Amino acid sequence: MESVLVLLALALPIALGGLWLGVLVPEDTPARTPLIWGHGGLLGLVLVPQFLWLQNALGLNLSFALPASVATILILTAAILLLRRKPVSGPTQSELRALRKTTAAQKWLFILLLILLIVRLALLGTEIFLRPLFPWDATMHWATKAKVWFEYRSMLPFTDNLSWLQAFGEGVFTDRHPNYPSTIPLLQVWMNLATGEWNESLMNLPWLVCLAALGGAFYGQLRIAGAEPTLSMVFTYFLLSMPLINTHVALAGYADLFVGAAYGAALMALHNWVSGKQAWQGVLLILFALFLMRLKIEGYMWSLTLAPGLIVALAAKHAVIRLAGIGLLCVIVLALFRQVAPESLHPFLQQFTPFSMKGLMGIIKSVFLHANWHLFAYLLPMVAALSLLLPLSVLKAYRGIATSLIIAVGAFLFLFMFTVFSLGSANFTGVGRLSIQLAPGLMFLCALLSNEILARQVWPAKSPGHR
Amino acid sequence: MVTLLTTGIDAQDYPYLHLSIESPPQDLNAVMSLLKGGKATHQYTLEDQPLTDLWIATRELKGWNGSVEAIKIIFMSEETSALTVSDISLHPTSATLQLRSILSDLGSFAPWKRAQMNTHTGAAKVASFYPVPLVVTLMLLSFLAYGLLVILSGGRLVFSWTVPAMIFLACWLVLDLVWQNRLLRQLEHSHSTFAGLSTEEKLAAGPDAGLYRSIATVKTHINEPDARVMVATSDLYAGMRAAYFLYPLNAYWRLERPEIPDEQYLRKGDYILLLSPSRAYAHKDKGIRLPETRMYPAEMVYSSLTMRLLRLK
Repeated sequence: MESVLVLLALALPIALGGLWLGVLVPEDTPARTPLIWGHGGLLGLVLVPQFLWLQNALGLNLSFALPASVATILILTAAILLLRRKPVSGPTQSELRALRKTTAAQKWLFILLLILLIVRLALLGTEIFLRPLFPWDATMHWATKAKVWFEYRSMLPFTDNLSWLQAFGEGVFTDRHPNYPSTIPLLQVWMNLATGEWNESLMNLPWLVCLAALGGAFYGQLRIAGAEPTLSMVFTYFLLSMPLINTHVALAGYADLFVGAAYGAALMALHNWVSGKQAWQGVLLILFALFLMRLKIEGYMWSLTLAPGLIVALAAKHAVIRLAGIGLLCVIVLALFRQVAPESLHPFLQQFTPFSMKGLMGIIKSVFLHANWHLFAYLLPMVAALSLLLPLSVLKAYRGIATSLIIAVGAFLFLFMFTVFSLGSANFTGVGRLSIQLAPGLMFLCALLSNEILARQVWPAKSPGHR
Repeated sequence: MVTLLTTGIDAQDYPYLHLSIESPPQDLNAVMSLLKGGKATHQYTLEDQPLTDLWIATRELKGWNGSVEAIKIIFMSEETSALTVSDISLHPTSATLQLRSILSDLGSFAPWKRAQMNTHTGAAKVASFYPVPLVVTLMLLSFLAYGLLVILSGGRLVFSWTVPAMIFLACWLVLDLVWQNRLLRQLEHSHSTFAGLSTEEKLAAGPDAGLYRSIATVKTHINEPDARVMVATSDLYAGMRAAYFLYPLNAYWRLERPEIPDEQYLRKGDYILLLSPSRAYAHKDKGIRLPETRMYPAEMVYSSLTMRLLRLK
């Protein structure tokens, strides 16, 4: 019975997001199946905790039945809408047709990588299933809230140490980061509410779903962007095989993977919306930009980096509008951070330090020397350098996503080289985890540019457009 | 304990140590120390498991210079069966041994550590190379070889980006297979430790087993479901973990000092859990205090070697 309930707790968010995306995404979209279930899974995983949040806000006890019922009604509504629609062609069939067009070697490579990914997901899933909660921050400020909220069936407030002492702990709890968004602990509460028992292993299964969903969304968006199935699979494999990302699944409990997946999903939607102007991509972009802020404080920053990307992409021919837009955005950013997350603004404005060589060395070691990302740190500059050989007309298509990512990477470098957080780079406590948040988006851009380089065989020039 | 006498040798002439144990038990841990000037100077925990065929790059060991009189290795296991060390030997510089040392490291495994949430080095502490730069070197040499082939072919071989792309993919797969192998062995380790256990049993068998069991005992001495329990310790990890195990009680633990909150914030009925090591001092009749504070009257509710639970009066 426990297994059925756990499966139900995982299936409901996936079905909710997947089926509603199924309603929105046209039938003839390339790789529609991985796309809708991937993006849908991610959306559902973030959406269901908001149902719990709403339940608590309405003064009701946290329960599995009510949010599950709401999710079921929404799922049934989406299913009815889908059944009333006449399919143009089976979504799986269209992807199979695309695969049939590839060479035998490409097909085998596709199958090999798919098998390796399935094996990896199985390994990681079994590891989650076996282990109790392990990592440091998980027991310092994420699962602390989950444990209390699950026990009391209510989102009892958490405050900082001093406020807790001043209140003599009456009606309040405390942990290291009481102001962190509630989504991750609520996701753990959701899993435990399903079985009615506190289970430190099963409550971490959403991390596995998050990784698989990220893979589906990544593959689907690459296919929509024009990459062939094998290349899309190769880059999906690259993304899902990176050791630090795998570690955050096996030793689940941190928010960084979810932040990385949501930011990556938003960037992918941004790029493909700018290219194709499909309304559903715009919806995805808005939803993931909003959800980023419900995951972790850094989510505000990443969410805001999407705006300059949009401005640059949409006002390409109007330099004045572009500059004014970005200037206005900077003011909004500062005002918003001051209101919403003053503790995040604090290190940026008041804890500047001179350039930190230790911070830089920490970044270099973490990225180029350690095995966190396999060879990704070498792939990225190689692809960036080779892409300079691409015609400007081709590169222009990527200015939106590139702008957002350049700002995000700039903020990352600034944080670890010019603020007190350089310590988090020197001792590796911060740099790797923050890299996880950027890795999916960077890998997507890398895949897009690699696709252009391979498709055009940029150098030495043979014949234009030769494949 | 195994001792290898090395008197009269110059340590730097022997950059490799080979250790081989027949059918080691799975929980076997090995701690190696170097004897210099009659004293054990440097200690290393050998992370690699199992220790069936381990090549250690000794140059990575601190203190591996001058004259080392002996190398002592202490083996620890809960199993009482006999242990057969089939080889412990030092070796001079050689390309073959360098390669064996690298391969030994690539195939090594150590169970999860907390630091792995922050970074995965890919190498053991006693490895002479990080695997990523090693594979990058291999990749660059392959690119170079392909470039030379294209140039020397005199036009018969046409350059294609697909070839470097495939070389890159192959190198990625090499690194990933090493990682997959470690994941698989981690899974074996987790399976042997946790399979078939409930959440409570897993916690009682996990990496913080001792602490979890102690806190479980402490909780049986706290009757109020909404009790305030303040954790006092100078061990950051133990304090943080103890507070976590105490939830859903109203636990308090602070990363920064002082270990016990200021007097104005304490009140009758509060519990203070004193974990060793700590700056605080507890007396079974008088109460608890920090060196700089007065004694806060409290009754000792529970006491063990590593922790004491007091209730403020």
